Amino acid sequence: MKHRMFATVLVALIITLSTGLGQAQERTDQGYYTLRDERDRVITMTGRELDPGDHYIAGDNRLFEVTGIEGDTVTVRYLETIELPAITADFHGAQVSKSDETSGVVGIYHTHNAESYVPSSGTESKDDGRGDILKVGQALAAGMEDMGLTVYWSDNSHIPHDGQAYMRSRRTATELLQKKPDTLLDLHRDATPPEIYETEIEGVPTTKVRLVVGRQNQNREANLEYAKRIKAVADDMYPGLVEGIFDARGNYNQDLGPKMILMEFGAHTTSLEQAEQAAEYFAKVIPAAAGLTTSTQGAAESQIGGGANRALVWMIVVVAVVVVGFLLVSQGKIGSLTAFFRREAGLGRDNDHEDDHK
Amino acid sequence: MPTGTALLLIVAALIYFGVGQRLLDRMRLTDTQALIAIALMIGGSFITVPLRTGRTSVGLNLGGGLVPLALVVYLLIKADTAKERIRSIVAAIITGGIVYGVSQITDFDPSSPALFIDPLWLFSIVAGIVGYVSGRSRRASFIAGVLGLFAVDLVHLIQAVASNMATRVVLGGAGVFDATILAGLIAVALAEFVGETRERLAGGGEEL
Repeated sequence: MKHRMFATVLVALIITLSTGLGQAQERTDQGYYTLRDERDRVITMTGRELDPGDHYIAGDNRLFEVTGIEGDTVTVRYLETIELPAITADFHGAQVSKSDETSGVVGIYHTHNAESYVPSSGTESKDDGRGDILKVGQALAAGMEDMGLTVYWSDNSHIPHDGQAYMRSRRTATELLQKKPDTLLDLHRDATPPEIYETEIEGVPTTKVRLVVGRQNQNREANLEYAKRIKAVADDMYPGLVEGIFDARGNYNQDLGPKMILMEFGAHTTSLEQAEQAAEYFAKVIPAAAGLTTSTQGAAESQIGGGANRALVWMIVVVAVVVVGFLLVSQGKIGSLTAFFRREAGLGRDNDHEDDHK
Repeated sequence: MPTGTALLLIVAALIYFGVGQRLLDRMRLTDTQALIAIALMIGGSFITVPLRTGRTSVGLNLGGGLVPLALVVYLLIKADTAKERIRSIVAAIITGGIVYGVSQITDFDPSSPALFIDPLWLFSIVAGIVGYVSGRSRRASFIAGVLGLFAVDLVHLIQAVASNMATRVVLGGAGVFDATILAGLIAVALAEFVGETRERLAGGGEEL
């Protein structure tokens, strides 16, 4: 007993210590990282902590891989210039279609509902939980309703902005999923200098938008294809609107389903008005990207569905490897695998309760 | 919904529920009881009982909160010894403490420093390790996961009510997909895997 308690406390200490080391690397200066390629050219900036192996698709579709981090500089390696899905349909004035395949429903929520824009509100975060980001969500919802979609926008509060915020917003996400949305969007803002996000589209000041796909879940392939489609549509309709796509660590509750995406509308250093403008543009981009308009349904289905199919194959392979690996470890011989599957299929005597089961 | 994405959802759910049922089955539940527990969690996911309204709203989801808590109580009652009960509860407190501590250090936000892994998986792994080390048992791991994360929610609830925070606390609110249940199940899976590996390395049948 004493040994076990000692071991428990030891593990607790190690885990706490290792997270403490993480804390030592944490920025307290409102700092940000600059991504530079092999020739020291600036690719982008982000408040996000990156790891070697993370991928970034830049605005011009160049795909980079993070190779190292030193101080404020993240070095990236150019891999290739990717092809976004071909866009053939004319999106302008496209009509939303409701069919057997699509419900025409969109869900919007905000994990960090207190996030705000300093130039507009004088603060980067509002303690009452009614952050500026909610107004960006409202603008996006209103724009999509004008397109004929049914939008469920949640202003559920998940404050404080701590490590459990995603655990709390998961509850909002599952509530929204009960409305059977075709796509579910988690709207945030980034924390970088303004020049990364500020732009003009047809002379109108707006912020760019960055898409974030979490790779630690089974829907990553489908969601990455969705992100690429969003960028392809936006590049066609409003060139320069999408700053890039992060394909990075994390999950961001995207394990709950395909066509779930996290979007950064500007940074705390850009204005709310610019972010609302971007939301207005995105209200036209999302329906086309998600295949909710008549002319886009087939293309969206084949592309995002293709990612989903690849994910399916991966998932089945991983499950098979885990099951076989576990059985080999626990029983040590191939012969026991047949016995296991016979038992699971109800063909043999159910004797797996005998070794009950500390 | 397009076929590809629908299939992806269905297969993922089937694997999750199937594995979940097998994991519950590895504790003090029969095959049928485990199946009923999973069915109650799924069905209960659609029902959230509001407990408090106002600036700080509080609710309890039946599938994600009440059912796993009932399971924890059942496992504690059925424990062989008082020592086992204490170990499980201590494991839950330590898990809750670590999860709370970690979540104060980082917000896991895409735009801010994060650890190497998503909190959802991290919290489950913490519960699995602590549960296994404290009791070397699947039951202790399940209790550490469910009760540990529940405790973290309770701390948030107390803080929110005490400071009249404009927020929403729905215990187990994501139903069968709530972090509470995921942590419990992943913790059992880890305990099972680590336990079996150790037993194998120790030369087979030795009970650890």
